[in-house]
Amino acid sequence: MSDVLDRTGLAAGLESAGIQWRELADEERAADAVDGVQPSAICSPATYQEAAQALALADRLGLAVSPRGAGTKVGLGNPPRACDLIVSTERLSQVVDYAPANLTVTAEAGLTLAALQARLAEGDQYLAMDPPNGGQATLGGIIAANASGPRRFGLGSARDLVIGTHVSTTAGTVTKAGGRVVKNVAGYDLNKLYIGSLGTLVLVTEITFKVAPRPTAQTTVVGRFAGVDQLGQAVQAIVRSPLLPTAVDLLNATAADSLAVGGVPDARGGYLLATLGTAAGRALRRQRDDLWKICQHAGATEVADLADGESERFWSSVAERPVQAIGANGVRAKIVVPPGRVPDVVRAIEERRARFGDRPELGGRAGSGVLYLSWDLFGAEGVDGQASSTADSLRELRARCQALGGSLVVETCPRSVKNHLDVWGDVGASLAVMQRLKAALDPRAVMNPGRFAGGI
Amino acid sequence: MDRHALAQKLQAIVGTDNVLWQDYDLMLDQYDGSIDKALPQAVVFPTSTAQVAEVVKFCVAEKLPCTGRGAGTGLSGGAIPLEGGVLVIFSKMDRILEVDLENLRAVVEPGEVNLHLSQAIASTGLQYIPDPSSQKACTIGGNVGENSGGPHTLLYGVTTNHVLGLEFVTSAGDVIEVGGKALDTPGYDLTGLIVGSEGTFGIVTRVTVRLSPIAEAVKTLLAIFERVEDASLAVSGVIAAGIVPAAIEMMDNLSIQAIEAAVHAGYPTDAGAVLLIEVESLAEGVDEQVAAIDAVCQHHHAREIRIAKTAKERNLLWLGRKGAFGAMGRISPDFYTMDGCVPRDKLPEVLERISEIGRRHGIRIANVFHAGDGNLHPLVLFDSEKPGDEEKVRAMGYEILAVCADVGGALTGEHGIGFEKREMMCLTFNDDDLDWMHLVKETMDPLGLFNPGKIFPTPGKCWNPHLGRTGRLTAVGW
Repeated sequence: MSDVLDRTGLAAGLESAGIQWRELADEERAADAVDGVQPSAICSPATYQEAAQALALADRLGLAVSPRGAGTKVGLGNPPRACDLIVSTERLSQVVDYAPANLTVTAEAGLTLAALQARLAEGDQYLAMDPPNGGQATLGGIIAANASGPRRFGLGSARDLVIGTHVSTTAGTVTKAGGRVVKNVAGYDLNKLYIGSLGTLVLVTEITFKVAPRPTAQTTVVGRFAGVDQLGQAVQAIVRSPLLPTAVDLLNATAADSLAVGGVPDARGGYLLATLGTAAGRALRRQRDDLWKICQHAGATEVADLADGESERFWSSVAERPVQAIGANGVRAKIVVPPGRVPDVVRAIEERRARFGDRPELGGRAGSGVLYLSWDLFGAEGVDGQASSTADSLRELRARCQALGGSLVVETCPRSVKNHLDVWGDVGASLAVMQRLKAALDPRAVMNPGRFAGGI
Repeated sequence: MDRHALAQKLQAIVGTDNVLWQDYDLMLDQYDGSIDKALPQAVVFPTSTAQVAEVVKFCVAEKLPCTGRGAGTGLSGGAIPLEGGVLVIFSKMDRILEVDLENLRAVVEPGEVNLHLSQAIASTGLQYIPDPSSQKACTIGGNVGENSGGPHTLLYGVTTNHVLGLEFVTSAGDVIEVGGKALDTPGYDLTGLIVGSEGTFGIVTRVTVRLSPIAEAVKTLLAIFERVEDASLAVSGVIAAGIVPAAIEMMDNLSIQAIEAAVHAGYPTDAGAVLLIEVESLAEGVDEQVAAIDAVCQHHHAREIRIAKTAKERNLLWLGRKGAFGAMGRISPDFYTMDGCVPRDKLPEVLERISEIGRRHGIRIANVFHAGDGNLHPLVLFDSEKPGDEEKVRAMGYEILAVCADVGGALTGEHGIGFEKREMMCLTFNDDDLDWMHLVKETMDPLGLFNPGKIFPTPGKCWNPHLGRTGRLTAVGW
């Protein structure tokens, strides 16, 4: 038995609480490591109460916990200061309550988004979230990372769609916030605090979402632009029009060339702007026609449209690009700016192009101002040899994004790069408030210590 | 410190003309739209963030309660200075600081009146979505405090969905920026935490909001029903048919009577209930949606469906709804506005149970509400001159919200807990839930000076705190 398990009494504590757990074998420790920090054990609580007991036990023993869903976002964040126990949500994977007539669904955190969507499809409804890793990612992981996809432009992100949570705390309690109705201002909106907190405050065990009727048809208009200025004009025209598109995405040539979907114009070194319309009936044709006109008017050199199945495949592919763009030594930065500043970001990246690998991939939510820049590190000097210069390039680009009123978060990169860089960047004067919240809700820094912004 | 000395200290911060402290002045700001009141010791009208920060630091140094206030239109006692202290009113911080069309954002001061923003930018084709019924008077700062809604939240969401950033004076008097024009700011979503916190964490001094395109086409229809149950079933029917209108508002017979006596919106006074339904989309889309809604209403025995043909007709239909609360004076000396939210499919059951509560107490209840969201506004009609009525009304309020809680609903959809509903929090939250929320309160406001007496029940009554000051938080100082 490992030193931590034995010395700290973790094994005995989990046993006596009746929580399913096991010690990790050496090779599992390496596989389950968070940025190289290896856990000793994994437990799989079957109830919210058991999860709370596990966290309280870790709190009492001074151990570090890393919550785990499908593990698709384990590379997000700074390297943890410690990671002793993985608390898995694998046994918390039920749909708790699906109320189609109320357009709400309540599910446990370990349920995959794909499984939830399958259930909602039975009611001709869906959860309007399409983050990457859509097949494997769990609801809890998506919420913890505030992951999002193309449809956030028209339908919102987690902060707009989550209306209630149950969480297990390091105080050993199970608490709730919000509820199961679509309008609710009773008590503090702690849901917002948990979304994107990367498991550093509590373990979210149950989530209630607003859901929506599934669109009956869809259309995607794709315009090819030689330069970013024209593309920017098209985006402005679209987002300020009453066309109410569901998604407005841009793809640079690398991203466009990687899509395995037919009917899409060849980027030919330029950019694609793709807009999804999901209006019903005759309004759908109007969306398509007007989007064509806007693209042409803004100077698109080619325009095409995709209908239903083709359109659906296109957006599934686009949603997955950020995670598929890179291999094991890849770097992915999430860049967020006020939406009108997207062309400036694209230009800033073009100007520094040589610093982001051979053919950097850039794509994302042009209408929302959320872009992903990805490239693989390789070359004669090796990954570690490039770590310092890569960190410098990211820092310099981050400064530019901050000057534009935004941020740059490095979502994935080799551990050696993290040695040279805070992946979150400076969060400003509000850090003091964030640190106070962390200190109050997780005073012994049990939950994912060190992975979050500002060393939280 | 006596009140005059207090006033002099505050005058040194915000200027001589920007402080009220005499009894007859203070009485103007002791109430809101609910039935409770309390006097502050002084009222200040700051003109800048720096002044607000100084006022906050002064209050902290003197251990004086500090409560932010917008237009005082709130309906839960949220802006009433329960424990006295300094009331910070934003009528002199009411500017639109920036309209940023390219980024679809606006930056406003908290005292900016909700409707003025949409009016100011109407020519740009953009609007600010949340539209509380009091939008002609209520302020964005107040909306942020209570996370206000409005009829059109059904399709577009409430205040929190449209507020992206805040400038915030912490309880230590530090000015911080949270969120901003860009989405997904790294770190915890403090913007989302502060919106709806009812002024209990500190004071918001600037708000960055999202602007949205004005819909190209709007159609408004009035569906008239003999029975409330049919109207309720029609609401569920519309949602079940996969249609999400911009708004579905319900008014029952008593409300219709009041509205017609006051504003003559053309609602039939013999109807059991009317639904005011509005759809917004592209021109090609609205007719199809109206046709689908028409079919659902017919199926649920609507006796007549009127579709507004002109903007004038549409405005008249909305005049009735937006003027409904004010119209209650025509049928009752006083009324008490409740605000619960229930799953939409529970509406028929809940309306019947509320009606039964009224019958049992011998007090009339009118219903005017956001049916599409399941957000009820029972208006309890009473006479404050009549001995016993007010006590009865408060008891009924509790019973009504107990029904909402019983069917899995919420105690408030958009008005806030405030003072009014704090003792009812235990209907939906247990000790652990409240402890956890209070831990956040203590973290944000360790001295408990900001809008004291709101949201949380009196300890020892229905809530027995066991976390907090005595335990976890002692090590955390500002």
